[in-house]
Amino acid sequence: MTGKAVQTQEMTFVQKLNGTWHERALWVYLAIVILHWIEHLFQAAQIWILEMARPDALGALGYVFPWLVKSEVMHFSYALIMFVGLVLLLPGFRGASRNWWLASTIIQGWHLVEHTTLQIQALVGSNLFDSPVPTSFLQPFIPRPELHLVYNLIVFIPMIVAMWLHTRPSQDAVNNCFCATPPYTAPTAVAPA
Amino acid sequence: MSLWQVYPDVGSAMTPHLIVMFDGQEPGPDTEVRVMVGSDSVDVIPSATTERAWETTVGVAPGDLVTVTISNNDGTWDMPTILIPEPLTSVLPMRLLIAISIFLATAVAWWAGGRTAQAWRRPLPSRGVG
Repeated sequence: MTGKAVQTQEMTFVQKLNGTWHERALWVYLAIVILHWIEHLFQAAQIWILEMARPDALGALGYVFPWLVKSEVMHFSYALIMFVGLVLLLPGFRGASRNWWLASTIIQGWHLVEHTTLQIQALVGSNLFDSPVPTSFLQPFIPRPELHLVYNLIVFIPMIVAMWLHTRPSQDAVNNCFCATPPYTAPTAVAPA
Repeated sequence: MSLWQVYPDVGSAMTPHLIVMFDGQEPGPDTEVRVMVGSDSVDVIPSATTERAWETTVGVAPGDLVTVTISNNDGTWDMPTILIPEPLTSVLPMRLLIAISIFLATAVAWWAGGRTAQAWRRPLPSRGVG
């Protein structure tokens, strides 16, 4: 564990997040991403595999909280959280993994622009292309559930490639965190002579 | 006035419903909206989702000719006949994309589960210790 960041009182939150906390923060972040991803896939399966009517295809959470799915606030908040997470955790990545993480961040940045525009339309009450509902920029070409499923997929793939590269054992020498450090094994007690 | 189609049916077999919207003008209480599909009149109700709008209660099929007539105390206006186009469906191979995504999400969740447990077994270095 030589060469790793040592947590001191002088370190900022972001420095700690990209040093000693990076490993745990990364996995917590990925858990949030996967849960959201599963929700999107559930809704997609309802539409294209179970062939449910679109207004009824509300995803898993939507069965319990139908208003959640129809609320632009929820979609906007998640896109914001995901973007902030990508930006905050970026400094911990090195080399090729950094490029993949950066690619994911840029794509999510555009996804956030889309959701911000949708949120503004919902607040102002006036929609793009004179549509009766808030509309994404690319929605005239691809319907919304398909479009946002694809957005999430093309954010997810480079993110996973980045995490895989970042956690390879060979990265331990260049990382400032413990993400690629071999698993911890507790020291075994030695019986007194 | 603008005429919108919405797609409330299943992913592979969507039929458009129509929403007749009055853009930027408040229609008076005497405003009446009539929609003819071909030579048949269809039911129109005030839209539950869109302000200043009426919508049809049944879907229309691509290829149908739709005529909208607006009337109030001042007169009657026939809108140009509209040919219903094919519904907007994705050019993307959605079932394949979903299958790949489900496989990817499952594999990543499995990998992440093991790595998360490993991360939590590792004691966080305390302050001042390298």
